[in-house]
Amino acid sequence: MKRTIALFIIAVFVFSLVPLAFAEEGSSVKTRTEINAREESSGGTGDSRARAEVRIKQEMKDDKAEARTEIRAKAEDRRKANIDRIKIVREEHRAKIESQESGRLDRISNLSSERLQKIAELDKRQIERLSGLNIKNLEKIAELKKERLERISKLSEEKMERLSGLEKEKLEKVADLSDAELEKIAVLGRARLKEFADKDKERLKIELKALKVVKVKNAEGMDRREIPEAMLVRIRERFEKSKEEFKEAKDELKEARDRLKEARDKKDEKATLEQAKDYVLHTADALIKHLEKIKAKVQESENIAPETEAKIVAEIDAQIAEINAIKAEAQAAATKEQIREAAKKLQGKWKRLKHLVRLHAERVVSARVEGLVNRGIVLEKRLDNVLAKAKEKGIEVDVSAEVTAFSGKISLAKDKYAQAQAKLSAMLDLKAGNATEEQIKTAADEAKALLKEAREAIKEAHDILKTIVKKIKEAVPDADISADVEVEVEHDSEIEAESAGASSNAATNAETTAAAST
Amino acid sequence: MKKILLPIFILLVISLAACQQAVKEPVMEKKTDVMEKIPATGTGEAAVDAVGNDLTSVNNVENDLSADELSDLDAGLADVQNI
Repeated sequence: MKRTIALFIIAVFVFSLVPLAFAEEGSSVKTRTEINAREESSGGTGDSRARAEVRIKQEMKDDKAEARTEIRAKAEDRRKANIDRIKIVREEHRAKIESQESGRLDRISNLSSERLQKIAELDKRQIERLSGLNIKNLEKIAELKKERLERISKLSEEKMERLSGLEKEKLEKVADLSDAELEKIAVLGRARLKEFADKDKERLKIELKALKVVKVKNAEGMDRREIPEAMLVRIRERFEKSKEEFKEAKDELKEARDRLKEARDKKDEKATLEQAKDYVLHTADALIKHLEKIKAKVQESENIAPETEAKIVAEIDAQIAEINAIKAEAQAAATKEQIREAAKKLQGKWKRLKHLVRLHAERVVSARVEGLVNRGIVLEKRLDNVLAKAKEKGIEVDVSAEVTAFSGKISLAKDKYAQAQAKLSAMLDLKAGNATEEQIKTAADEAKALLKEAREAIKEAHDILKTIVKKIKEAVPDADISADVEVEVEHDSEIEAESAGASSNAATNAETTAAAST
Repeated sequence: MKKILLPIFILLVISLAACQQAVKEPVMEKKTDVMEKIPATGTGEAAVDAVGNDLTSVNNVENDLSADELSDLDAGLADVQNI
């Protein structure tokens, strides 16, 4: 009996597993079957299905035509209403406004009568540009006094959109500038524009006079130096070779030091002399290779001006020549005193070289950061361009807050990078003024920190840019932000000029000061 | 008979768990494939990706030109002067 009960329980258990094991697959099968069944039932026979399709298509067509007629009628009514509204404008000006395309007419005719009258007195092109602005910006610009409105409306739509991002008071200040000054200031990115508009009138005019505007197709157009591609390839190969040789010299240096220690411990005079010589020679090699690496990176930097690059390269070559001279002395050394003397000379050389090495390395980094800032500046303009094209197609993409944030981050990066350049110059000046090593180190650390902040700002700008591009691509899938389009940008050549001047002084002064200290 | 019941029951539970796991596994694999296809940082827009690449390149240059690896030169040269 017990056996029967046990077998019964097992059988019940096994049977209960069958539906469980197939449950998941069964559900999908069921779904597929349901879909097929629904398709079949809705399709019916081939004939009736085709008839149904034709009927549905016809209905949709009728609906579309109806909707189109309705939209057209509404647009016509709206245009009539807009034309009625502009009847307050003097007759001689009315035609200029009436000839505007519906969307533009719609925006312009909804302005107050006073603003409408002011705009109507402008020429047709100016009216057309103004009516292309979004309503909020149009209201802001139309609020300006007649003379200011007259000047500002000579700018392109894109420039006016950027200027209208300013607060009322600042916009008025900017609108008081001459036509040429207005053209210049409107080239600036949003953040730089705000920065300029914050200045008092006199300062604004002085800084605008110094502002250099260039037309470029891409960020490379803002480079301070053009390097042929073949030369770049050669420089990069040389850098990789130096990097490899530096690594080898470093490894050998470590081994030489261990061997020297071993020889000294064994009190083996001959081996000690040999290993000491070996260590000095490998040290010289490591220093030369490190200098070669920096030289290659300086030569590769498109954002280091030619004269600065030439000076740095000449200076590095001079340092390499001096190290080679010490190396030759070490090679020829036959006594302990001679090798001690060579080691002392090399240590003195390294002591003063440390600062120049750091200075030039930071200069290379700062040149790279400048290139990144330039990319950001050009990208802001390209975004404006893409957004303007989308607007022409009747597509509005609301990314103004993001573009303003992007512009702010790029401007912050530029500011930090400029401060870093100033610190680098200061470091060279400090050296010239017999500054202590600690002072020079502090200045170098500060420059490094500023460049780090600049990079952080660019990283944040990059994240914002990704959001902007995503939004634009969603609205305008064929938008091309990477295409080379000629844009006007601000080009700041002063930063480099200042540090180049300081560098030339410091290169000689650093040597004199350090020589005096050793 | 009682002795057989318990092992059979355990075996059944294990096979049931294994069957359910087998059904779930292919779904998990598919998800991993999709994740692998999504580029980690690229946006597909060359100008945007160039900024990211340049940022990485600045970090590399900074490391390459750092003199940190030469920090023990002084001690080594001092050793030589003491021979």
